[in-house]
Amino acid sequence: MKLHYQLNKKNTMKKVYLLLLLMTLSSYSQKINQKITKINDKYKIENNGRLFDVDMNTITIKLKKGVELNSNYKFYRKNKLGYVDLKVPKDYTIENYISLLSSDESIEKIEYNSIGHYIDFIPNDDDEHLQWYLSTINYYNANEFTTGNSNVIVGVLDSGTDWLHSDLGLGNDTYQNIYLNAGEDTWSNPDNPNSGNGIDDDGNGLIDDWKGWNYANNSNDVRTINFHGTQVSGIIGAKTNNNHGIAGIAGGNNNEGVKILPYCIGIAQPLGAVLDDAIIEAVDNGVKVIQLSLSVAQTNAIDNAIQYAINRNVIIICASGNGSSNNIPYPASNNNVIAVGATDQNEIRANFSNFGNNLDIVAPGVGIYGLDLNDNYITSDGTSFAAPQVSAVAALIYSINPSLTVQEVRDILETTADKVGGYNYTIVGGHPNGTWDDEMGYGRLNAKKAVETIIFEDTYISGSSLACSSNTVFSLFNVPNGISVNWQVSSNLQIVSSTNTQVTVKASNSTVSGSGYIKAIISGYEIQKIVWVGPPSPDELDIQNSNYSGQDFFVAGEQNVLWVTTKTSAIDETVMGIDDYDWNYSSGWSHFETEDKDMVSVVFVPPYSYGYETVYVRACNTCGEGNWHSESYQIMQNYYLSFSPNPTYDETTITIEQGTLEETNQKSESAETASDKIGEWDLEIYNIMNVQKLKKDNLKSKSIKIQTAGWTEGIYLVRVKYKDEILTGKLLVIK
Amino acid sequence: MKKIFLIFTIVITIVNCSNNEESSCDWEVIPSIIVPQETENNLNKVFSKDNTILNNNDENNFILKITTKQQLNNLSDDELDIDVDFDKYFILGGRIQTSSISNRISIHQLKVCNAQSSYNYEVIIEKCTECYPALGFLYFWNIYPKSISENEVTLSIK
Repeated sequence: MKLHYQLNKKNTMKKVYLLLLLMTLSSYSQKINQKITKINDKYKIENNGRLFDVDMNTITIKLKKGVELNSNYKFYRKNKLGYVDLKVPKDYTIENYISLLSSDESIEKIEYNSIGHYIDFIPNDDDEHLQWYLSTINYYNANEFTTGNSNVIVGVLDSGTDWLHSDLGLGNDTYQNIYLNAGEDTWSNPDNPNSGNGIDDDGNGLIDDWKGWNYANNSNDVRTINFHGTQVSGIIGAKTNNNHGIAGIAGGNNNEGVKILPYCIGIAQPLGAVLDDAIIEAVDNGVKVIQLSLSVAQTNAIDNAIQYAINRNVIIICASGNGSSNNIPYPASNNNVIAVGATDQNEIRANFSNFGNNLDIVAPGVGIYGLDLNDNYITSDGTSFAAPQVSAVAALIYSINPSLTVQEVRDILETTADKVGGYNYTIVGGHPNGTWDDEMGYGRLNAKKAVETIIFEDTYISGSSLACSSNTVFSLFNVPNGISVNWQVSSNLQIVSSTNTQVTVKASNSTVSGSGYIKAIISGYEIQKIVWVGPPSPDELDIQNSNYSGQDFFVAGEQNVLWVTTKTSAIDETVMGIDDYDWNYSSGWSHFETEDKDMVSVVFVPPYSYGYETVYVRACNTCGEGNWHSESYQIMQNYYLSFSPNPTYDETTITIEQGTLEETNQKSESAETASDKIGEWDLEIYNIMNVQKLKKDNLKSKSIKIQTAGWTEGIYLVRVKYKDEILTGKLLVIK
Repeated sequence: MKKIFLIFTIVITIVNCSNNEESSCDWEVIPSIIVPQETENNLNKVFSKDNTILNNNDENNFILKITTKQQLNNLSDDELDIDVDFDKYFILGGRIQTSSISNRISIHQLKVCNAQSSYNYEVIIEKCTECYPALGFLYFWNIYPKSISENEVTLSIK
C-alpha cells in the first residue's frame, strides 16, 4: 500500500514536472521551432532523425521589423536577412538566456545552433540503427575519409569465421570482405572448402588455405559452431552501405572494405599451442592488423611470434578480458600489443572489463550488435567486441597510410582517444601518450580523430606571422581532394576573400593589436595558424643599463649602454614580429644607436644638470609602432668640487665633495669613515687665458683654503685630479 | 557492565550456533533421473542460447521449476514433443551468466540438507584458462522425482 502510494506520488510529481515543462516550452514555442532533447547531460537538436550537438555559446535571433537590437545583448554578427547571432553571456546558461530572449517582445524568432557534421554518410544497412557504438566512437565522421582499403588485411585469430555470412562473404553482392589467398588456387566451388586442388600451392604447409585456416582441426574450413569469431570479424569488416545487415567499421561503402583473414585457433577455447603459428602465418600473409579477443597462458613461443609481427610492422590488438579485475591477462598484458577494455552506453568502464597498468584504450563492449552464425545477427557483451573496433580503426588508418609504423598507429589511437566517463586521467609514468586512467587507459576510441590525424597530417597554413591593416594572403597546403574548406578568423581580423586553398585577411581596424588566428575548418577538423595582428603591444618593456645593472641612475659623463627587453624576452619579439625599437630621450642628451635593434648608447653631456631624466622606447613591427614605454634615471656623479665662497674677493675654500653615486653605495657607512677615506689629490688653477695661477700636489685634507687677494678679477678654471677622476669647477674672483 | 557482557556473550553464542548449524549441515546429493537420449537432446534445445524465450529473461542467473507439460511447452520456441512424465517427475533448469563463453559447467546437482529441509541447486563452473572474453550464458537442467517439487530450491554458483 505504501509502495503504491509512493508510486502514485512519483507519478503525480512527474505530471507536475511535465506540465511545467510544457508550459515553459509553450511560452517558447511561438519563437522556437526546434526539437531539443537532453542525452547524458548534452543538448541535442533532432533533425530528420539525426542528432546534432547544440552549440552552447551562440543563439540566433530574428528581430521584428524596424526594431533595433537591445544593446545589452552580446552581438556576434548579423546578416542582411535580419538574423543576428548572439553570444551566450558567461553568467547565463543557454536555457536561462533562451528564457530571457523569449520574453523580449522585439524578438520574432529564436533558434538554437548545431555543431554539424560534414559530408559523412549514414550507412543504409538495415540494422545500422542497432549499432549504437558507431556514433559513440565517432565512426560517422571518419567514414568521410575512408571506409577501408581492400589492400589492408586484418587477421582475425579467433573461434572461426563464417565466410558464408551474406554480410561478410559474397551474399547477394558482387564483392566480399574475406581475404582470398592469392597464393592458393581458387576452390572450384567458392562455397566448398573441399573443392580445392588438394595442393599446397603457396608452400606454407597448409593445403588449399584459400579462405584462412582452421588450426583447431587442421582444415581449410574456418567455419565453426562458435559465433565468437564471426561477430568479431563482422565488427571490423561486415559489408557496409549494402542495404543489408550491419555496417562494419572498415567494411567499405557498398564496395570492398578491408579484408578479413580468418584463422580458427580453437573452437570453444583458444589454443595457446597454435596461437604463435597463426600469428606468424598471418604476418607472412601480409596482414597489417592482428585481432586477438582471447586470453591464453604466456609462452616464449607466443612472445616471439608477437615480436615477429611487431618487427614486420603489424599491429596487434587484444581484448583486456572480462574478469572485472585489475589483472589484465596475456596476451593483452604484453607491452607490444594494444590492450582494449570495454565501456558501456554511459561511457564508463563496463563492470566486467579488466583494467590496470597494461590497459591502453577502451571502446564500447556492451550490447554490441553483430554477425551470428547461420546468417543471423546477435547482441553480445564483452571486451571481445570492444577490441575489434580498435582493430577496425587501425585498419582505417593503414588504409590511408600503409607505411605507418606500429608505434605511429599506436600513438594516433592513444592520443586521439576521448577522456570520457569523468575519470581522473593524469600523466602517469610508462604511459607517454597523454593523460591516462587505470580503468580507461588513454580513453575511449575516437575513429574520426584518429583518421583525421592521418588525413591532415601534412596540411598546414602558410603565410606571414603578422597581419596588418593591409591585405595579407594565407595559403592552405596539402588539402585532400574534394574536401571543402571553411575559413574562420579571430575577432581582430576580417576575411577579405577566400577560396578552398587561400584566404586573404586584414586587421579588423587600424587600432587592433593582439594575438589572432586563422583557421581552416575541414570536416570539423581545425588547422590553425596563430598570427600577430597590428603593431606590437608588449605588456612591458624593460630598459636595462649595462653600467649599473638593476639601478635606475646614470653617472654623468660616462657612456651608458641601454637595451630593452620585452617582458617575456625573445618570445614576445617573435610572436609580435618586433623588428626594431624606437628610442627617445629628454633634451640635453646626446646619443647614438648601435647596429643592434634593441640596444642604444647614450652619454649625458655637460653642462650637467643633476636630477632625473627619462628614456622612452617603443617596439615596432611591419604593421607600425607600439606604445611608448619609459624609464626615469637619476643623473649622478662620484665627486665634485665646492667653493666657499664663490664668487670671492680674497680667499676661498675648495673642498672635494662626495657625489650622489658614492652616497648611494655607501649610505650605510658613517660620515667619519667616508671622510677618512680622502686620499691624496692635486690641484691646478688656470686663468681664462689658460695660464696656471696655482699648483699644489699631494694634498691630504679634503679642503684647502687659497688666497686670491692678488688675482685679477675674472673666471678661473679649477682642475683637480683625485683618484682616477678629473674634477673641474669655475671660480669667480671679484674686486 | 556484567549484564552487558552477558548479553553480548549470548548473542555471539547464538550466532555461532547458527553458523555451526549451517556449516555442519549434511548436504546430500539427490540423484537425477536418467532420460532417453531423444528427451535429453530435446531438453538441451530448450535450455540453450538458441531459446529466445529464455534469452528474453531479464535475470542473468535463474533456476526454473517445471512441473507440467504446459509449462515446458511455454518455455520452448519450437513445438517439441518432449517425453517427460510430469505425474512422476519435474524439471529443474536454468542458466547462469559467465565472463567467458569458454567457461564450462563442471558439476550441477540438487542437494538437500535434511536437518533444515533446505534444497540447493549447485552449479560449479570450470573456469577457462584459455578464453574468448565474450560474456555468455551456461545452461543446465535435470529431472527429479515429483515429490521434491513442493520445496523451495535456491541456486548457488561456485
